Amino acid sequence: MAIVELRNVSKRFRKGDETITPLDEISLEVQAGDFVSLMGPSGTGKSTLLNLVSGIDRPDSGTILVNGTEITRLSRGQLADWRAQNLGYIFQTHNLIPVLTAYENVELPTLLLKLTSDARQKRVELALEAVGLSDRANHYPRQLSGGQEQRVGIARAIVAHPQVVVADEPTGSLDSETSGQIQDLLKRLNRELNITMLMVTHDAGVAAIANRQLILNRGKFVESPSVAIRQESPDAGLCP
Amino acid sequence: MKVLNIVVSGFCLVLLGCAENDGKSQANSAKPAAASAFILAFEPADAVAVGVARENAENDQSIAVVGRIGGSEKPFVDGIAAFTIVDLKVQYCADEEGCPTPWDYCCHQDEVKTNIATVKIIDESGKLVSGDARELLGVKELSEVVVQGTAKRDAQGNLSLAASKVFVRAGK
Amino acid sequence: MLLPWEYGIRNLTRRPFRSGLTLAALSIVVLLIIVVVGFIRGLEVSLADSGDPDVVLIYSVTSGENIESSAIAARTPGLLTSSVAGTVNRFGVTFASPEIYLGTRIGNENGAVGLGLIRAVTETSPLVRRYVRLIEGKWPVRGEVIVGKLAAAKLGSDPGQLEIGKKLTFEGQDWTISGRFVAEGTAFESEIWCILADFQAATMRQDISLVALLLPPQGSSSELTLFCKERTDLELQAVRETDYYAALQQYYRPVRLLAWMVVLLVSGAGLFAGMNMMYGSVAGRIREIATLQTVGYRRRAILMSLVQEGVVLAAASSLLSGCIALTLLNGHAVRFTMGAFALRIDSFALTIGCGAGLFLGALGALPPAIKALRESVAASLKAI
Repeated sequence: MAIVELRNVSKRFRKGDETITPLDEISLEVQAGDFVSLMGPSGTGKSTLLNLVSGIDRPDSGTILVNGTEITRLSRGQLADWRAQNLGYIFQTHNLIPVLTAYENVELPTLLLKLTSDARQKRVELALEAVGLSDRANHYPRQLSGGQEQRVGIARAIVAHPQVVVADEPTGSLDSETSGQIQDLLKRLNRELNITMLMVTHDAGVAAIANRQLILNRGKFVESPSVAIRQESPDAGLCP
Repeated sequence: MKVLNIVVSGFCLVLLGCAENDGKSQANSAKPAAASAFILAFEPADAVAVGVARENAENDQSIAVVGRIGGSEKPFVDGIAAFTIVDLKVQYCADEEGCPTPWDYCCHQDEVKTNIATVKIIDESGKLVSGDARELLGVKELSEVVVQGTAKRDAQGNLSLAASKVFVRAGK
Repeated sequence: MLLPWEYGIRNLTRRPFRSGLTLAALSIVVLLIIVVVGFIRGLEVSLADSGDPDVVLIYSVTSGENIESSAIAARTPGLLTSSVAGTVNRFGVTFASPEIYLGTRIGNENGAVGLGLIRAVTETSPLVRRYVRLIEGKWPVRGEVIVGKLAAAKLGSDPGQLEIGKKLTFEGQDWTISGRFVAEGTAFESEIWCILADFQAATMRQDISLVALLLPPQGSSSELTLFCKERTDLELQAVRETDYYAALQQYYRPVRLLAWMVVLLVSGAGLFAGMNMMYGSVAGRIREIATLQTVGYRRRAILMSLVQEGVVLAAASSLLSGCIALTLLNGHAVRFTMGAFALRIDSFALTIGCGAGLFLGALGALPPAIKALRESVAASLKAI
């Protein structure tokens, strides 16, 4: 069953007198539990696609359905509520709130859910445990390394138990060793929590962790010939 | 623009409201008190001007004096039915001059000194009537009145009229 | 759902220098507002309390609303008491106070000269001026004066120069201070009192400025008014003291309007200070605000949080200013044309000052917050 479905979606931008069309009548179906990577040259609309799927941008035409909800019909406020319930977003630059601790950053999305304080606390602790940062819960972002910050960002993305997580260059600002750790973490989350993942990356090596690799070029998708095989080696229990 | 229209309309309404109130209070204060026992139905024929009375009236002489209520900013005495009247020949501030209290004769105070008299309304037993002359007689500042009563003059030339009846001329 | 309270509070500590400057600016604004409102309140209360409802002032009709320029015949008190019934009389003493009241240049022992207010009185004056109470020294005799609590403020002089035994110079004569008095916060407290006959001799005046008459409780001033109207040759007017000071309040209306204008202008400056701080604060947080929206927070919740920041800072400023005003400025004497009065930092002044502060905090945060939230989330996520 397709959890993310794009039908004839177009997006245009005006740049001076010129109109750029990064997405031109594209259609895509992503099945539940898929891990899809999106690659392509700069400016081909990868991030735009991610923004459309997460409802922080709107297409000029076409429809987008996520988990059965036609998000292109929702108002701005409804989209915010929908994101709180259904979507996690991992940013390239982590985007943690500097005045809040790691715990408080992860707690932010849960404040939008109807949870008891005990249930909320449990979720936050489990999410931090899942990314291996239980011992850093009371640290502020400035007291964390880049990799730890990204782990907090990932914990924040999964703490509300979303159906879909989108990741925009999640390893883009990390060194190769830390990047590898984050890739492992994302793979485990996809595999063990069965979270559908949509990841934009420039790096073919990073893209390879996905079980489906798409290349976006001149506004159209090109399916990569080398479809990744779902990896089957759970080495840590992640299920909260 | 819509908001501006509402604000301007509201402001105009407030102004209109104020104007209407003013008009109403003036009309009320000038309304004749028909039931008053001190009102004369007909104007006495032999009334003399205030200035003339100040010069010629004898003490305790019965007299009718015509004048206009005014002479100071507050010509009525609070709590007593008494007021001052000024000779009609003395000019008060014209309407177009925009003076808020034209009855004080501020531009002709020198003339007022020799053309003013104090009117005290007295009852049948000769006692001063308490209350407000405006309500009792239905008069207001600048009303023209003919006062019938007894003159009292002192050595300094001040004239008081112990009035038993007052005729209020129509108009101001 | 609103953002956690801590988020707004901690954001204030992010740029401590900027927040500190804004706190100082807002505190000054709130303090200025409190002081100006305290000035207005002090003036109003001083004038409102100064009139005794049972006292009628008889003074020249030609002086308008200014007793200082009034000159009436010295025989007026006798004429009044003999012609008009209704004033208080006990043991053969009529409660009538003939007085000269004028502003003149007064020098002290240091040679400093200031404009002061003299009231020349008689022994009957304390019977009429019931608020006046001698708190130190004795009633003056020839060549002596008693000084009000705020007389030093009115003169702009060192209070030490108005102690008992010190000398003052006015109308070409030296006067020794024999006592000090209070008058329940009324305008009398800024005056200097001396003996009428003494002052008439010094000024070579034979007239007086006014007669103050005490009516019995619920007594009417009608007969006095009628007497003044009948005796047009004397050119007198009878005005209840409360009405006199109420008229003075009207006279000072432009001053009060100006003071309120100052409140508005100062508030405007405060608004800009608040806005400047919040623009700076929000401009550095464009991506963060977009992140919160991406997480699922509605724009309204973020707007509330930003307003909360402004209000918290303004509340701190208001608290600080309120404390300073209450402890350092309340009761401070202010000199003005007809005397001196105490700054009155009362609940009204504090409410206006602190209310304006909170309002400015909230209002100052709105435009930058709205501007930030209008931006596209996708574009804001790329902001540096």
